[in-house]
Amino acid sequence: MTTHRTLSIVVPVQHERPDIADLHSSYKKALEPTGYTLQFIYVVDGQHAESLEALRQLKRGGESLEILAHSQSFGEATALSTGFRYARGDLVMTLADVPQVQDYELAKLVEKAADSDVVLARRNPPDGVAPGGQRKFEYFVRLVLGSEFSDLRCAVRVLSRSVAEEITLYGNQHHFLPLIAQTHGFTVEQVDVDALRSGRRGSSGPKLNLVLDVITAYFLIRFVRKPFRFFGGFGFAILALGGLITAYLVFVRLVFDVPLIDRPALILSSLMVVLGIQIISVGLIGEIITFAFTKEHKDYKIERIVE
Amino acid sequence: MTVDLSVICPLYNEEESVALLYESIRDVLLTLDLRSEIVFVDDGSSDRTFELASSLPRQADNVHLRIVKFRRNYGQTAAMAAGIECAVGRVLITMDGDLQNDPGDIPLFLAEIERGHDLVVGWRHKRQDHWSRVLPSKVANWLIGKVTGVPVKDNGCSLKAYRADLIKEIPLYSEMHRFIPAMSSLAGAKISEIKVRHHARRFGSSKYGFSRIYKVFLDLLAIGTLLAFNKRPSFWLGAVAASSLLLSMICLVLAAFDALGPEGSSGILFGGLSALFGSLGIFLIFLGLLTQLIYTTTIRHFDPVRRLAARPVIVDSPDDIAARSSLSQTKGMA
Repeated sequence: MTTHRTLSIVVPVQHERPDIADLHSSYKKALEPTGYTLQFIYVVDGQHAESLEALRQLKRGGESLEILAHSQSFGEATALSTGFRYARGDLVMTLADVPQVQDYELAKLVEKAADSDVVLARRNPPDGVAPGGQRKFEYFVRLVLGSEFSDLRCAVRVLSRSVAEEITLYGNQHHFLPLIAQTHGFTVEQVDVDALRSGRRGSSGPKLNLVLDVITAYFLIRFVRKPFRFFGGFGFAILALGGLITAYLVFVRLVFDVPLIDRPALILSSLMVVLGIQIISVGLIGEIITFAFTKEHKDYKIERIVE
Repeated sequence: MTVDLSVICPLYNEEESVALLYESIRDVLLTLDLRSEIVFVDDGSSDRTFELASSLPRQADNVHLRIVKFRRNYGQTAAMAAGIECAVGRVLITMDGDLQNDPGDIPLFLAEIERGHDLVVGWRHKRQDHWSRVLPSKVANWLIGKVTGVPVKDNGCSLKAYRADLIKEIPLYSEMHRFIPAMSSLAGAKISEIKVRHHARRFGSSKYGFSRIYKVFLDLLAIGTLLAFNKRPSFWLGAVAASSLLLSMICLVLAAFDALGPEGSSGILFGGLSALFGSLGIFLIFLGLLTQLIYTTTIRHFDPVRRLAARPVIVDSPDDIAARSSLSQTKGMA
C-alpha cells in the first residue's frame, strides 16, 4: 500500500444522534488499520441541533473531522454531494449515521476498492426483507431498470475519487448511485458483508415516493439525452391508437350508419388523440431544452487523452 | 503553432484495422504540405484497440497523433463530438474507423473547403453493403431531406469535412451525427456534396447496425422542431393549437345544429368533443408560451449558431478583385 493515501468518509446525518461520538470512534477504529489518512466529513442535513452539538463537542475534544450543515433538509443524496465537494481523498467512503454493517467489514470494503470504481456493500443477512424473502425495492428496480444490485439501499459504499467528482446527486438518487455510476462507465462491485441489525431503518419514507424515484431514475438514466425518444414513443402510440379507433367509428358511422350517439367510445378515442398530442408536445419541449444545454452537459466523459 | 487539418476517427473494437487505418491516413496527409493531426477516439473498446493505437508513433514528420479514450462505449455521435472538441485544426474531417471510407478522398474534401464551403458531405454513390442496409438508408435520407429542407443524398456517410469554428458550435448529442448537415443549416452553412469511394468491410462485422425506423422518425421530428424553433419560437404549437380550436368550433356548430334538430340526437357527443379539442387548443397555447420562456432564457445557447449564420456581404470593387486574383496566384492553398 502506498503511503499517505487519503480516505474521505462522508456521513450524512439525517437524525438527532446525541451519541454520534460513539459512532465516530467505532468508524475510526474500524478504518484506521487500512493505513489511509482519514478525513471525516459529517454533513448535518437540516436542523438536528443535538447531532450538531455532539459533533461540535467531538471536534472541540481534538478529533479531526469536518462538519458541514445544511440549514434545511435537502435529503441524503444532496448531503452526499455536499460532502463530496469537500472530500480530498483518493477514495471516498459513504456511511450512514446509523451503523448498517459490522465494523470489521469496513476495512475489507476499502481494500476491494483497488479493483473497481464503486464498491457496494450487500448486507447479509439482509435488512428489511419482505416475508417472501425478496427485497421489494430492489425487485422493483430490477424490473424497471434491469439492475443486478440486490442491496441498493445500503448506505455503505466506497467510491473512487473520479466517481465522487463526476456524479451529481439530488433528491433520493443516492439509492441509484451504483446504477448511475455504471451508465457513466465505472465498474461496480458488490461485496457481501455481515449486517448489523439496526432496527431503526427498514421502511424509509412512503412507498409512493420510492416508486416515483425509480421512474425518475429510469427516465434520467435512459433518456436524458434523447427525451423525445421517450415522450414520442408513448405519445405516438396513444395518438395512433386513438386515431385508429376514431377512424373505425367514423367509418362505421358513414358506411353502416351506426349512430354515434350509441358510441361514447368516440369521446374516449378523441381523448386519446388529445393526450397523445399533449405528450408529444411536451416531449418536443424537452428536446429543445436538451439541445440548448448540450454544450454544458456533455453526453460523454473523456477518461484521458494521449498526446 | 496552428494545425491546418485534423482527421477524426471514432474507433470501437477495431484492433485489426487500427494500424492499417493510421498508416493509410498518414500516407495521405504526408503528401499534403500541411501541418495536420489524426485524432483517434476510442469509444470504450473492449479489445486491444487503445493499446495498439497508443503504440503508434505520436509524431511522424508533420502529422501528429492524438488519442482520446472513453471509459465506456458512448456511441458514434459522442465519439465524434469528443473528437471535434479535442481537435485543434482549422479544418476537421471525420471518417469511419473501419476502413470503409478511403483516406485518399481527403484532398478532395480539403479542396472543396478551400473553395469556400463550410461543410462537405461524402456520398457513397456505390455502396458496398447489402441492400437491406442500403434501402432503409435511402428512405431515411429522402425523409431527412424533406423534413429538414437540406437535401443531402447520404447523411449516413461518416466522411465529412467541416470548417472547425462552425462544427464546434453545433450541439451534437444522442444520435445526431446523422443530422449534422441539417444542424449546420441552422448556422447557414454552405454545404457541398462529393462522391466518395466506399469499401466493403475488411474486418469484423458491422457495429452500427441500421437503427430502427421509429428512432429515425422520432429524431427527425425532434430535429424538424429544433430547426423551426430556432427561426420562430412558437411555430408548430400555434398551427396545431389553431387547428384544434377550429375542430372544436366545428363540433360546437354540429352540437348546436343537432340540438336544434328534431331528433336532438348527438348533441351531447359533439358538445363533449368540442370541449375536448377546445381544451387541447388552450393547453397548446400555454405550452407555446412556455416555449417562449425557454427561448428567452436559453437564447445565449443559440447565439453562437446565429453569429455564424450572419456573414458580412462584401461587395468588391473591380480593383479588389484584381488584387485578390493576383494574390491567390502567388499564395496557392492558404
